[in-house]
Amino acid sequence: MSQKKYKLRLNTKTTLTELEIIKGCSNGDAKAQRVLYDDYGPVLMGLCLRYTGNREDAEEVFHDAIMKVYRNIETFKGGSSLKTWISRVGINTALDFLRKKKKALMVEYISDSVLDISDTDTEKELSLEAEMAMKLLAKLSINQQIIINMYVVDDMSHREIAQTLNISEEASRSQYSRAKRLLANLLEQKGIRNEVRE
Amino acid sequence: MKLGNNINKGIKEAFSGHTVPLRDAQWERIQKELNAPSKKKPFIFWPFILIGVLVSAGILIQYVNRDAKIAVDEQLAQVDVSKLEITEPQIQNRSEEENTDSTLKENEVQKTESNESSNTVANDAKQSRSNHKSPINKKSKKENQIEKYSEPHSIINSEVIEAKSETTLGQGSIGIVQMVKQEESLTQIGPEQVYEAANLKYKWPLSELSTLPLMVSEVEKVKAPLPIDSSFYKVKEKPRRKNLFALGFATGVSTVSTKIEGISNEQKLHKDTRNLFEQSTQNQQTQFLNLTFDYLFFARFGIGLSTGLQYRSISSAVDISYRLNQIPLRMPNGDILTYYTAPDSMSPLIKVNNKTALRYINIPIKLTYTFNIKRIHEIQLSGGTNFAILAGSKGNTFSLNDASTQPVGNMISNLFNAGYTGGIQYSRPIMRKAPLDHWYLGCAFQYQKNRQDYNMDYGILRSNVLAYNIAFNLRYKF
Repeated sequence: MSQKKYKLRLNTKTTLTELEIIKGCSNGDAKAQRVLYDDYGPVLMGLCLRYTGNREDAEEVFHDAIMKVYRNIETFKGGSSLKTWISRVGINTALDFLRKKKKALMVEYISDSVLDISDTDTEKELSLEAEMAMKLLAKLSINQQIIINMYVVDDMSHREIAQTLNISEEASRSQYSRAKRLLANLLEQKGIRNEVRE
Repeated sequence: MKLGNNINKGIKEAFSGHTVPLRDAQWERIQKELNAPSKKKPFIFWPFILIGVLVSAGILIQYVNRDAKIAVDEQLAQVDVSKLEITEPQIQNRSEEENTDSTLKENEVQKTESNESSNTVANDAKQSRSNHKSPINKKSKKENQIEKYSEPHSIINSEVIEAKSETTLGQGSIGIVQMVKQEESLTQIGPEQVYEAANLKYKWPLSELSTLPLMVSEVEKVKAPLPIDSSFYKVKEKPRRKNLFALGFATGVSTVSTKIEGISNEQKLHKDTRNLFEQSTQNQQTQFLNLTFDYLFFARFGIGLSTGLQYRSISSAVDISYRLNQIPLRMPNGDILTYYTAPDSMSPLIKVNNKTALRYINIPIKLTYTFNIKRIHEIQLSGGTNFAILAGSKGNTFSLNDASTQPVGNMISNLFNAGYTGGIQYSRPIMRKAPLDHWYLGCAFQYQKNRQDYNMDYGILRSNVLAYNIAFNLRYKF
């Protein structure tokens, strides 16, 4: 198990290491549960919001995810940090939720060839706020949003995405390319990408 | 840098360290769920009990049957065989198969032993075989002659038909004597009856019957005495009445309880809903009346179907006085965010003091397994589905979420539901002789479980109604 010590400072002045949190939650210690909620909850909630796109669904997914975390924390083997593990639980819960909501989530679609976005505007950098990024992602299809979230934000490889979504890697890449092309078009149209440094 | 990479970088940066503040209500909800008792499904033990009972019953039946068989064997062993053969009125027919088989064997013996005899003997043996295969109406002339002057004879009277020694098998042949064959009536002796054992017993010891010098009948037969354990000697059983159907009536005592299985939209229901519901379903009383119909469709294996009608009434004394001073603050979607405490003067008082009653018509459909112990004790194990219809209701109960009282019947959201039922029943005939041998009296233990859903405005409270009945029954079998 990772021995990194995340010192957590709470309103109640409680400070627990990652290991103490895990042990405490495994034993049903209310204090440890609260520490986990306060420290990892907001990040998990942000993740849920990214995947679901609205607060109401995000709260539902968050609730389910955190309950899974509490109930299964003793199965956490320490192969990664607790934060990564919780994020993965959150992603899986969100995907389950979306599957239920959209019955045919991630139907394999690979008719488009993989596209590279060519761009001549190489000197300029893009700057986005979270809210603006959410609005942008909302313009994409649900499948494309998921791919962008998993690949870009959560640093998952196409292989991992393919395994998680039970699709082929090619389908994952195809969806990703289409999503990027759409995002580029949107940015062009709205001139958002010109919020650039001089 | 390509735009594609810029987009990736921009999105990643936008969401790096992205957090969303949490609401306190969410923690309360999580805490409540964490503190709630685990919703593990209770261990369902009754199938194991049922299997145990079935296995025990099987062993018991096996044991009882074995004992009965041993008793019969011992009894037969003690009987003076010679007397039994001659005077017992229960002597039964020897089956045609045995008759034919033994005759064929004898003929084979004859063939073997009279190898050196004349061709006439051989031909006769063949004829004998063919005669045995042929039905009785293919009688030889000699048989017909005997039949003419042979009046029906009684074994008990020990009249003897003289055997003629006109055998074609020759002297000195070793034969086996056939016991008396009787067709239907004990008093009738058919034309095939050649010797009576009664006659023989005075001449030869029983132990030597099998090696008696050949005495051949008018007809042709030379047959062996039957072994002592042959079905020939067994007492004929009375034909069993089929009794495939049974109509019954049952009533008795019962205890009933209502347990909450779950609440849908719990976050929308007032926190005291569960407690008040449990108060309102305490001290329940119930009465029931069953009309049953049983049908044994695999009578040989004791497997059948049981159905009928059950009337059940469940009553509860509801005495609740509750001041609603914890007023819920709701979100637009109906979820309760928190509660604020209102002064007593401002908060409504919900008071219910009456007796509620719910009346159901139940239709059980059960598979049954029936077996008998010593023929008169009948045990029936059953299990199946119980369909319940709410037939009527009486009385009022609380409705906390709109701070009022309502007729209890209006709150039931599933007027029809399916549960399950099972049990064990014992019965026996009132008398073993007519006319009361069709009537059975007995008792039964039954378990019933049905679901009952209560509509609490914002959510559904799901409950299970569990009943344990001890019933006394009267059945008529036909």
